[in-house]
Amino acid sequence: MTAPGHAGVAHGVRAWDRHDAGAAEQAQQTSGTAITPGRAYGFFTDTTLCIGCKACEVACKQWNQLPSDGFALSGHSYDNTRALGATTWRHVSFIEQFDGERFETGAGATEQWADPAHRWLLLSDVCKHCVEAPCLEACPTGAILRTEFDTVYVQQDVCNGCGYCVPACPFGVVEVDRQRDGKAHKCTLCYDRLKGGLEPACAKACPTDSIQFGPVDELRERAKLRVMELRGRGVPAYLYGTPGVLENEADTSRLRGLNCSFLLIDRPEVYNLPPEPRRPSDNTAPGLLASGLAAAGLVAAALLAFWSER
Amino acid sequence: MTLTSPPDFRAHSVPPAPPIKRATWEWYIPIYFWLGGISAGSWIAAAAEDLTGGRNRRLIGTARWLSLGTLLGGTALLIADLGRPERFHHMLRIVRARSAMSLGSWGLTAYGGVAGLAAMLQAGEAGWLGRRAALARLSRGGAGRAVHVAGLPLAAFVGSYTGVLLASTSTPSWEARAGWLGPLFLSSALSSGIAAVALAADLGPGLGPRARRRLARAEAVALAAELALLAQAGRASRPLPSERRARPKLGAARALVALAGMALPLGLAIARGAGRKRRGRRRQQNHALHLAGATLALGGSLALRYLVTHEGYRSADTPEDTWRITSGGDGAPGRRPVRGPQAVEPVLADGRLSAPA
Amino acid sequence: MGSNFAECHPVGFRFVMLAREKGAEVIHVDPRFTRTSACATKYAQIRAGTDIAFLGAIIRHILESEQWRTDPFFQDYVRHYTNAATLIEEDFRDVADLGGLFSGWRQDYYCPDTWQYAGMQRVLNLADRQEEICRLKTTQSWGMHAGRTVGGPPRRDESMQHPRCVLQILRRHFAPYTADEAARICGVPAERIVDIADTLLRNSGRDRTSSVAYAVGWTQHTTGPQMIACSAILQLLLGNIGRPGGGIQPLRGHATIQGSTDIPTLYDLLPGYLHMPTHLPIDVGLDTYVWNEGGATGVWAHTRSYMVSLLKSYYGEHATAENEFGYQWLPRIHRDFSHMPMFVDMHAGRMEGFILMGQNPAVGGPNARFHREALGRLKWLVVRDLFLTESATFWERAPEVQAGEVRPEDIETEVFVLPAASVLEKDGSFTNTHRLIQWHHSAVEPPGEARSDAWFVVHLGRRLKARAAGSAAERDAGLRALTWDYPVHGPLEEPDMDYVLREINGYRWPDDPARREPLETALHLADDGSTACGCWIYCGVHPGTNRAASREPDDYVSPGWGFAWPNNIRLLYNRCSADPSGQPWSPHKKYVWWDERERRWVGADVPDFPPDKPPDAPGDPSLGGLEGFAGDWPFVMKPDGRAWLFFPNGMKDGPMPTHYEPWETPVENPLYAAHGRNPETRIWEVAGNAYHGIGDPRFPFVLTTYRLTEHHTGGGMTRWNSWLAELQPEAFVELSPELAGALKIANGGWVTVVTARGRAPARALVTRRLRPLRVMGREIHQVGMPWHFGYEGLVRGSAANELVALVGEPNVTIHEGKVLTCNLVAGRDGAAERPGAP
Repeated sequence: MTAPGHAGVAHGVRAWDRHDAGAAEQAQQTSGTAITPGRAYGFFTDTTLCIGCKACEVACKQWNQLPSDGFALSGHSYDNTRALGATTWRHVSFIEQFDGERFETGAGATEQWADPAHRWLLLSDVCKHCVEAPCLEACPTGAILRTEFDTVYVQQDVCNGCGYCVPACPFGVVEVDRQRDGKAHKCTLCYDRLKGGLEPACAKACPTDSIQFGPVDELRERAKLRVMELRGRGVPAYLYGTPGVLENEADTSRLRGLNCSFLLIDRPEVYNLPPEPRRPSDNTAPGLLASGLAAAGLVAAALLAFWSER
Repeated sequence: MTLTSPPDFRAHSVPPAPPIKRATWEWYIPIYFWLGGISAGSWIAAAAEDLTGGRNRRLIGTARWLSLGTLLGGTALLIADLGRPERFHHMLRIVRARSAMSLGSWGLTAYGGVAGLAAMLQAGEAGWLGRRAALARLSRGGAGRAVHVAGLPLAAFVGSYTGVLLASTSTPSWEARAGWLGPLFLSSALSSGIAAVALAADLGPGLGPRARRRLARAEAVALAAELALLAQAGRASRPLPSERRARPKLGAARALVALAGMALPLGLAIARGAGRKRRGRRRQQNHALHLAGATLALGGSLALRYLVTHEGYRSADTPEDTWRITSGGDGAPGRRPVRGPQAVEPVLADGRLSAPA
Repeated sequence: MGSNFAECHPVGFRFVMLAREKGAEVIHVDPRFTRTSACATKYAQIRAGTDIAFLGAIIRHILESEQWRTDPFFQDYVRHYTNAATLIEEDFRDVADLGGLFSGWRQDYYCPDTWQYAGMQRVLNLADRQEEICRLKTTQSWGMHAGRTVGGPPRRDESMQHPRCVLQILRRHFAPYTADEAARICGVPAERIVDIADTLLRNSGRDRTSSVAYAVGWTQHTTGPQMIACSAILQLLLGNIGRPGGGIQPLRGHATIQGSTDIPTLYDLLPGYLHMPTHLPIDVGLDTYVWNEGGATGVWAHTRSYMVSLLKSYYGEHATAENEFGYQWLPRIHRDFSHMPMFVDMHAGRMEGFILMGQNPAVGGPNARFHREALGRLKWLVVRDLFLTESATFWERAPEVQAGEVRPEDIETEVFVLPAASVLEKDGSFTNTHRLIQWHHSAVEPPGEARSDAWFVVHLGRRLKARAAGSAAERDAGLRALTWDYPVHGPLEEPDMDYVLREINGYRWPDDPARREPLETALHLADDGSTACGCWIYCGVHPGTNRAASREPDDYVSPGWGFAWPNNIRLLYNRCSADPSGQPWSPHKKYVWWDERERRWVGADVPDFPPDKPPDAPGDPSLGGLEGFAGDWPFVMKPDGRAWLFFPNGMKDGPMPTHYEPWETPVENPLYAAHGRNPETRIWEVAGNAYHGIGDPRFPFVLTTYRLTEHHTGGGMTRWNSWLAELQPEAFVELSPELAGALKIANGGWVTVVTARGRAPARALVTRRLRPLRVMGREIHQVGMPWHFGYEGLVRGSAANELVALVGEPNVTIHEGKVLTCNLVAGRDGAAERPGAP
C-alpha cells in the first residue's frame, strides 16, 4: 500500500465535515446508509431482480461523463455495449436460455424467471473492487490505490498507461483508452459521490434495487438472507464474491472476496464470470524463484561451457 | 432444479465478449522481450568469458556494447508503448513486490546502471576516454570482473522477468504454464544473447576458433535448455481449448520454432563446439555455419516471443480457456478441491442452510 | 397483458418486482418474450390481437368454476356492485345469434336501443335525431352520457338466474370461449390458459386481490377499448375493482398522457371530459348541451356547474347568464377530426398549415410515408421540438427523397423550426397513470432560442388576441372575449405556470387577480357563474398552496405526495373495499369502511362516496346526483351506481367484448366467419393506404411493433443522445430461428419487411424469444419491430411505421399498430444480399 492512500483519507474526512447536512440526509435517505471514510463499501448485485433496463449504464455514463462506445448493433440479444471497458463501467449482460420448440410448459411449479428451459438472465456487471485487487497489485506506478472507502481507484494524474492492469484483471474490467487519453479507466465506485455522501449513480438509478449499495459487511448479511430465502423457494441461488458467507458459493477466496458481489442462479460461466477467479500475482514469486533456479543452472552451465575451452 | 451446463458459445452466431481482456501492447513489445533477452544473454556471455579466464577482449567488448545497446533499444520500445510515454518515470514512484512490471522497472533501471558502467569501462578500454592505461586496466581487471559479477543476477532477472510478467496475468495460456515462462525466456535470452555476440563479434576480423567454440558450447547448452523448457511448458497444462482449436496451425508454428529456431542451431552449435582442429575450407564452412546457427537462434528466440504472446492473446479471446483455467481440474499445482456452485442444492440435507462459522 | 411493463415503465415495475418478491404471481401474456416476461412467474406467448379470446376463456373458466359460483365474496361483490343482476331488453341479440353482429346493426353503425336495461330507454331531448348522432363517428356519438336513459329504475333479479339478467347473458356470451378454442385462436396451450385462470382465481377474493396492467399493446387495436372492457369484466367478476391491490392500470406511453386527456389535446373533449359541442341540435344551446351530457344521477348530474365554471375561466367577465356564459363562442365539430382523418384531409390538400409540438409524425405516424406526403401538401408547417426531427426535414431526407422518387423542389411546404425547451428547463406538472398530479420545477434555463411550450402558446395567444382586438368579425368574438392575462417572468418572459395551475384549480367570482380566492373542492363549483374553474376534476390541486408540489411520503397511501384528482382520492370506487354492509371484506384488505360510531366513511384514503351516507341507505334516483344513490352503489360515475359487466351505452361496437380478428390477419375468425373483423372498423381507402386481405398469401407473417427501454416513442428525444443511442443503435426485426432458417436470414444480416404500404430494411435479430405458434392447426410466425427509428439523429434505421396502415378503432379512432401482416425478404431493400457482419 502506498502513500497516496493516506492523503486520500485525510482529504476525505475534510470533505465529509464540510459538506452540508441536507445533502448528507438526502444521501442517507437514498442510499439507506451513512457513508463514512474508513469503512468498506461496495455493491451487491442481485441478478434475480434485474430487469435489464440499463438505467445503471446510462446513469454511470452521465455522472462520469463517459463517451459512447460507438453505434453498432451487435446481434447479441439486447446487448450492444458488449463488455466493460474504458468507457463502459456498468454493463448489462443479456443471456437468452431457451430450449425446446415452444413455451409449452404448463402449470409448472417453477417461477418462469427461474425456469432454466425458458429464461432470459440479466446481470448488471461492474468492477468487483476485489479485496486483493489484481489490477492494483499489477500497477507499477501506484496509480491504482485503495481509497478510504476500500474501493479500488485509478488516479488519472498518475497512470502512465502501461496497461499491465488490463491482462491482470481476472474479470476483464479495466481497460486503457488508447484512442483518447492513453490511461486506464474503470469504475470508481463513484468516488466523487461517496465523498459527498451520495451513493453511486448506478445504484441510485436502479429501479428494482438489483444493484444495492452499502457497507460490505451489511451487504453480505443481506445477500446471505436473500440466498436463503430464494433457496427456500426452490431457486438455486448462490453468491459470487463473498467467500465464507455461505456454503456452496463460488470460490473467490483467492481474491479474498469481492467488495462488489453478485447473486447468481446459474453457473458463473453463463454470466461470463470466471468460476474461481485467480490472483495472478500469486504467480510472481514462484515464477521468479523458478527463474532464479534456472538462472543459477544456466549461468553455471554457461561458465562451464566457457571454461571447457579456455 | 439444477444449474445448466456451461454454455457452448459456438452455438451462438454472435458469441459474448471474452470474459477477460487481452494485453493491449503494441506489436513491438515481443521485440522488447527479445532485445531485453539479448541484452541479458550477452551480459552473461561477457561475464562468463571474463570470469572463466577466456579473456577474449573482443568478445567481452562486443557483449558489453550489445547488452547496453539492446537494453536501451528495448527500453525505448517500452516507453513508446506507454499510453502516456512522458510519464515513464512514474514507474519509479513505488516498489511493489507483487507487480512483475514494477520489479521489472526497477530491475531494468539497476541493470541499466551496471550495463552503463560496463560500457564506460569498455569505452575506457577502447581509449575513447583518452589513452589512459589505468582505465583499460580497470576494465580488464578486477573492477571489470566485479561489475560483471554484480550484473549477473540483474541480467538473469532482466532475461527472465518478462516471462514472469506474462505469467502473472489472467491470460489463460500464460497462467497455465506460469512457472515455466520465466526459465523459458531466460534460456532463450541466453541463447539469443550468445548468438548475437557471436554474430556481432564475427562481423569484423574473426574471433578465433577457441572463442567461437566457447560460444558454440554455451549456445548449445542454452538451446538445449530452451528446447527442454519449451517442451516442458507445453506439457505443463492440458491443451487449452484455444490451442486445440488452433491445431494444426499452431502445432506447425510451434514445431517450426522448435526445429528451425532451436534444434537446428543446437545441432550446428554442437558441431561447431565439438571440433578442435579445423583447417582451410573446413574453417570457412565452419564460419558460415557459425553465422547461420547464430542467426537461426536469434530468429528462433524472437519467434518464441511472438508465439507465446500470440498464444496468450488467442486464449484471452477464447472464453473457454478462462473457464478451464478458473474452474480447476487442469492439474495446475496448488489447486484446492473444487467447491463451486455446481454442488448447490436448494436446501441442505438437514433442511437448513448453514453458514460456516 | 398488452404491456411491456418492465421495458416501457421500468420505474413503475419496481413495485411489481417488490410484489413478486413478497410472493405475488406476475403473469405476462405477450406476443414476444420480453424483459417483462423475463421477470414474470408465468408467461404465455400469444398471437397478437387475440387478447379478447384469451380473456374470454379466462372469464368462462372463472364463471363456470365451482369456486366462483360458491364463494360468497364473489357472489356478493358481483350482485351488489355490478349490474350482473340487472335485466336487459328482450330484443337484445348476441353475436352468436347474428353471425358476429349484435342486435341494432344499421349497415355501418350500431343503434343501441336493444342494449338498454329492460324498461328503460336512451333518449335525447331531440329524439328524432338519434340516428344522426349514431352516424356521427366521433366519441360524441356514443358518450356514455350523450342523452339520458329514462324509465327506471332498472329491473333486477337478485338471484342472478333470470335468463335476461346480465350475468346469464354474459355466461352465454362467453360459453364458446373454451380453453381449447382460445388455444386454437391465440396459439397459447390450453393448459397454460387454465393455469393462468386458476392463478387469478386463487389470487382474488376476500383476502387477496389481483391487478391488470395494460398499455398501448391493448389500445392500438381495432378492438382495443373492448380488450380493456374485457379486462374490466374479468376484474369485476373477481372483485378486484375499488380494492387495494386491485384495479386496472393503464400504463401510459408518455409522462403525462393522462394529463393530456384530462386537460385534453383532443379535438372532441373540453377539460374534465366534457364533450366538445357538435353542430347538431342537441348542442344548440347550453341548456340542451347540459341535458344531454349530464345524467340525472351520479357525479355527472352537476355537469352544468362544471361547464359554466369552465366557460367562466375562459371568458371571465364576458361570460354571463345572458349569453349562456359564452357557450356559443365554443367551436362546433361535425365529424371526426382525430389524427388519422386529419392527415387524410391533409393528404387530400384540404389543410393549409399545421403546428407540431413535440410530435414527429414523419416517422411516428402509422403509414409514415402517407404522413410525409400529407405534410408535403401543406403551405406551412411549424415544428417545435428538441432536435431537428424527421418531420422538419422530411422534404429533403425522407427515404422516398433519397431514393429519388420525390424531388425536394416539388414540395412547397414552408417549414419553420422552433427549438423547444425540455422538461428540465420548464415548470409544470405531470399527471401519471393513477391520476397523480406531480409538479416539476425547471432546473436550468433553456439554451439559446429554446422556449417552453407554454411560452409559445401564451405569446401566440397574445399576438392573436392583438390581431383580433381590432376585428369586428363574428368569428373573432370568442377570441376577443377570451381571458389571456397570464403573467410572464424572467428575461425569457416565460409564463408563470403556478398561475396556470391556479386557474385550472378554480376560484370564486368576482375575481381580483391579485387576491384570487381559490376553491377547495369541486363540490363548491356553482352553475350560476360565481365560480371559475379550468378543469373541474382538478379542483383542489391548488387551494392556496400547490398540492401537486407537495412531497410527503408515508408507508402506505401517501396522500401528502402530490395530488390525485378527483379530490385527492388515490383509489377510485373505494367504497368497494368494504362489503355491502360497510365493513372491510377482510382485515388484510381493509381500506375504506363505515364507522358506525362516527356515522361516516373512514379509512386510509378519501372515501370516493358521499362521506356520511350509511351503507343501508336506500336508493332513490328521483333525488338526482349522489343524493339518490343507495349506500351500496359504489360507482359514482355511473347513473345506476353499479359497474357495468354489460354496457348499455358508451361503446359503439357492442355491449360486450367479443373476439374479432385484427384488420390484417393470417386466419379466418373461427367463431363467425361472416363478420370476423370488427364491423365498425374505421378504414380509409385512399391512395397509398392499401390493406391486406384476410389470410393474404403475399403477407403471411404477423408483425407487431413495440418500444424498447432504450428509446422513447419515435426516438425524437433519444436518438440524439449518445448514451441512449449506443444501447440500441439500429432498427432491427426480431424473428424466430425457425423463420430465419426458412427464409435464409442470418442473425445480424439485413432483412426487409414488406407490406402494401411500404418496406423497411433492418437488421435481423434472430432469437428464441419468439417461437412459431400453432393457430387453427397451422404454424403462424410472428415477427416484431421496434418503431423508434428514422432517418435523422445519431442512430438511424427504418421506421416501423412505414409498414403500418391507417385503420381505426371505432370508439376512439386509434390506429392498429400492434398487429398487422407482412412479408419478409432476406437482404436490404428486397435485393438479395450477403448478410453483413454486425
